[in-house]
Amino acid sequence: MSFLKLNNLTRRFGGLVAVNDLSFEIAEGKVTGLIGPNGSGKSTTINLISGVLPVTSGSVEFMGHRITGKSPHAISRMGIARTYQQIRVFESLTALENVQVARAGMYRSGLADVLLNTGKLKREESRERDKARELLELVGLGKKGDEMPRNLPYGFRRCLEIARALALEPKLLLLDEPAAGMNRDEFMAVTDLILRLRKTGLSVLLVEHTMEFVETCVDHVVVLNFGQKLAEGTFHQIEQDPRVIEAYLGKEEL
Amino acid sequence: MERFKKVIPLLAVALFLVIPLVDDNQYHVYMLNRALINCMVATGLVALTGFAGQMSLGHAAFYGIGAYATALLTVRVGFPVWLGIISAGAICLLVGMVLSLPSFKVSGFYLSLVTISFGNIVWMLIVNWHSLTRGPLGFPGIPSITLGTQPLSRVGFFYVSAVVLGLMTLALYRLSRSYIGRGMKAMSDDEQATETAGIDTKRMKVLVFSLSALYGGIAGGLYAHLSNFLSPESFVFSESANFVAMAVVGGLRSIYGGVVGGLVVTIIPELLRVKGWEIYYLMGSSLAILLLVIMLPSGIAPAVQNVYNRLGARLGIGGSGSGSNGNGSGNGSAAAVRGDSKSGGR
Repeated sequence: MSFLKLNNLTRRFGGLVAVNDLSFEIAEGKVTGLIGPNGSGKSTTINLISGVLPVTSGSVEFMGHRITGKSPHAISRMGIARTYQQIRVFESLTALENVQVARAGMYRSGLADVLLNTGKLKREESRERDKARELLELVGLGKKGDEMPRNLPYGFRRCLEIARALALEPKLLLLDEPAAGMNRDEFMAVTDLILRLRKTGLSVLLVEHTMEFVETCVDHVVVLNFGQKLAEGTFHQIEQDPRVIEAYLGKEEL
Repeated sequence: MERFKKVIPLLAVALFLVIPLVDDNQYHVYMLNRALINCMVATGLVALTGFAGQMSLGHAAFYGIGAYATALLTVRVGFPVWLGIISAGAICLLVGMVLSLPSFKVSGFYLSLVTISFGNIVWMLIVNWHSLTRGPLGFPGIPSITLGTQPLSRVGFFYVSAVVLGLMTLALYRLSRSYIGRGMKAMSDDEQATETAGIDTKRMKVLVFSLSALYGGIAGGLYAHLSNFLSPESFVFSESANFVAMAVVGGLRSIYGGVVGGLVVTIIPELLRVKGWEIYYLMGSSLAILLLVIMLPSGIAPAVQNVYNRLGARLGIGGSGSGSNGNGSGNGSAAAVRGDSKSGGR
């Protein structure tokens, strides 16, 4: 049984085939990088796996279960969490509450417990608040729990989004360009965070353009071009693959 | 210190609650009752639109369904009044569930259009289904709420409504502080991100639509037994718009927004009924609402809360709540919602 397996995944937008008959597997406990030129279908692939876009054909299997066609919340609760290319945090909630939102699935209290403010609910709320604080601590936002997201610098907002994803206690984390648009310090902070997550054995599939980031963080690379898999292997194998060089730089005419 | 901070709001509520005891003008008490009923509908809209981000411009329909449901059940079937009102709430809850289905597909303006159409359909039914509602002739002879064998006085009705509204507000307060309320606010910010944070937004919509409809239905039920007579014009589209105005004026994202807005928007026109200027009072009250929305876009309730928290900070009381509100002054709504969860005593 493979950890995550894409079977002939295809997604069309009208006449455009964004992802074309794509199949690959990713291994548990590894950081897999999904790279490719602009428009090669990387973000679409992430959207198809997380269920926010319906597939045109093909399927995704996660730990032996077919997840294609399930709603995004169901996929999230099965253990696939994600972040977005454009950071999407909840602007009207505090940083701590942003993380707490993703803990909703951990509650046994129901609506009646909420309306009657039962002891069970209070215990769970306090347990989940502590858990959320721990996660903020982990991503380096330990002191920022009461801040509104708009008051946080860009890099911190990204970390907050990652903390929210981690709050689902995922088995697989999908990161869509986690280091995009960051300054040097922020870049180092996110790199460091992902390396720390890798050490805990979390499986990650990430889309990234920054080769330095891919080189440092990634165990295995899958290269896409025009919605299809072009190559895969370790970063150093990929780096020297002529097809990959051609896809990125174009062919040299003699 | 936190305790002390709660004294003044409690005092304000207590002062409001003694009005019917000192003001023996029956019309004033009647209008206060109408105001409390409007507050219930507006509080339901705060939950639906303010917290969960789902627009409704058709809430007069729930109000109407609730009113006619209890009228029919008490007059034609012989239900006791209390059971009629509860049934009105339950029927609206079910209708609200059904109305939540379009929100799976559409949002924003499109959802407003869906709810406007829903409101119009219900209104047309009320007008045209003569055998059931007597249409434009109106529905007379609806019994008053009784206490033992005596019909409840208007003052008595005031306290019954105040308790109901208090319970509704408490329910919304608890909801908003819980994981469910956080999910709703998240959904109103970004539905897709809420889904991928593991929350079933469809279920959330069903819940909040039913809750909001329940509030509207109970309000309508109380209205039927307050006025003893129903006429279709109480449930036209402009009433739906009026309920939205209440929620917005009071504070769409504040737990107390419905209460404050319901009172203010109901009472303002009455205050403007100056002798000799009667023909202008509705225009004047619309102008007042317009000005309030422009000057206090996040509503009266959060504005008052902000001022109160700042005064508290200056006087050195209730440090924690006011301290963190200081940086949120640019956005009253978020700060107010946050202020609530703080003063609830963490």
